Amino acid sequence: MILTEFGTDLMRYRDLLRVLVERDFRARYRASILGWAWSVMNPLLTTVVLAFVFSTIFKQVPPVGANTGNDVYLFFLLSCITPWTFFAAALNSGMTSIVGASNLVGKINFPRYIVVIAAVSAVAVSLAIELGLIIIATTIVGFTPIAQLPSIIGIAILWMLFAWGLALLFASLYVRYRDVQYIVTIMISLWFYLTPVLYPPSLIPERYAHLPLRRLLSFNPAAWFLRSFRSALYDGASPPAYLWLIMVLAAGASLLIGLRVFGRRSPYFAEDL
Amino acid sequence: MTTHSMSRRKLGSGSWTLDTPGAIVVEGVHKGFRPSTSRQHTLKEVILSPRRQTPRRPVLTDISFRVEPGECVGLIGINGAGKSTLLKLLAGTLIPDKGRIGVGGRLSALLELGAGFHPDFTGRENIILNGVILGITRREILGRSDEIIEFAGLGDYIDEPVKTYSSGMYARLAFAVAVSVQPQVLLVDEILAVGDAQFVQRSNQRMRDLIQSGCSVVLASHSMASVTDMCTRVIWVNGGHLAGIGPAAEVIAQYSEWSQHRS
Repeated sequence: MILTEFGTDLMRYRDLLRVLVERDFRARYRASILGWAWSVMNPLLTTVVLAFVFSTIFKQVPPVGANTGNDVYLFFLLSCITPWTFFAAALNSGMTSIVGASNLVGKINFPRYIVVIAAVSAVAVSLAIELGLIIIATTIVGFTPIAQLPSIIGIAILWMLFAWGLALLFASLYVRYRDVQYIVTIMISLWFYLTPVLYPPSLIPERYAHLPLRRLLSFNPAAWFLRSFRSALYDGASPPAYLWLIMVLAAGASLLIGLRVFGRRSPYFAEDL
Repeated sequence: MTTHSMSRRKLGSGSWTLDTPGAIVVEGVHKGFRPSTSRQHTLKEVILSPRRQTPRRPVLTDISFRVEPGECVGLIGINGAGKSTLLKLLAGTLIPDKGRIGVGGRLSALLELGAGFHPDFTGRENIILNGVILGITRREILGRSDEIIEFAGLGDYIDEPVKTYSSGMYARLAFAVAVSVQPQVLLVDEILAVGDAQFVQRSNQRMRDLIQSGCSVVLASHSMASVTDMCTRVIWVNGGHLAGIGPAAEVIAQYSEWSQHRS
């Protein structure tokens, strides 16, 4: 019910969404010479540095990709760090978007969540470009994840919907309580280490199996999304059906909660800003 | 007076959509704000003093009136009387604490200077942004942008970022966009006062055209001359109460008399 209403609004205001996404994307890089190229190069270069540190200095060897035989540490990292960088940036950008757009919010009554959705989607444009580059690079090197393109697109869309929901939740709290920003920043970096991104999940020793850590990981939706990304991008295998199901449920639940809270708070935004 | 059926609920509770385009119905509306000193803006404060409800300072008390399609209503009162709050309630950016508000058809509002503009973007880009926020398609607003640019009369400045604009230029652009979407309800708060004589004259003419076509206009102003010039009826708000409502000349006379006594 709340989701179908949301869908109709998105269709009705798709032009506003488009203009806001363009605005966000261009505003972010307007004053820099290389423009949007930074949005792509920045995370890629960061990952190259990480890959160098882990593979050359710490002598980490990645597990060999199941169907692809991919054993390049850079690709192993990219397959998870790229989606994660998107997630962290999207939550941050979405959370502050309503406050940043206070001159729009005070102007007229339109569905406020378009602003949050647009902020997250603008970051998703960068994700799409980065994923495209990774697919091209791995294909050229000979690890052929191109066959996984439909899966990758599907996972990326579900991942974006998951981010939409959380961003809506944080955005509605942030308007009232500015502390939320600091809490979310810490939460994201903690979440990063609780999600097998830098290390394969198998790296957690078996003897810690009784500790809540492993159980925590299995309740961590981000871990399921990242496993799916790694499976498609690195192993060249579409995630199994149960992973798809979990991702759909996680995205749906996140959106429902986000829209609920946002819907309850948004009539007071103009007052609280 | 005709009745307008209120239908489907809009975003916030208390705001309704009317079936008659151009009609405005306000019924027993109350609005108050928490005093800003007691606003709990950090979690720390919420945790340390949970549920300590500070009383809201009333800004509007029991306001009721109607506006018919094709009517221009003036909104007068001293600074802080509640005019802007009332307009924001009509625009739907604030929701009433009590009572209900219904507005019919497409609404366009000129409330604060610079509202709806992105300072880093050019006038041309802001026209598109404003158009799609007001609910028309990108293609439509692109089709009308030449006309809007001509009406705003900003010359080459249209391709400069709006942060370089003067208040008069802001007002010109904002008005040009607001009227270009063919609104059925137009709310104007003071904004035209910063324009020059030629622009004020042109914008008044444009508002008259809109009113002719059935658009209702609510015009908040301190200029009794322009209210007399434009409006048939006037609402006088004083201290959050409806102090007077009726034919323009009568209410303005009451208001002027009251102002003189006050000083």
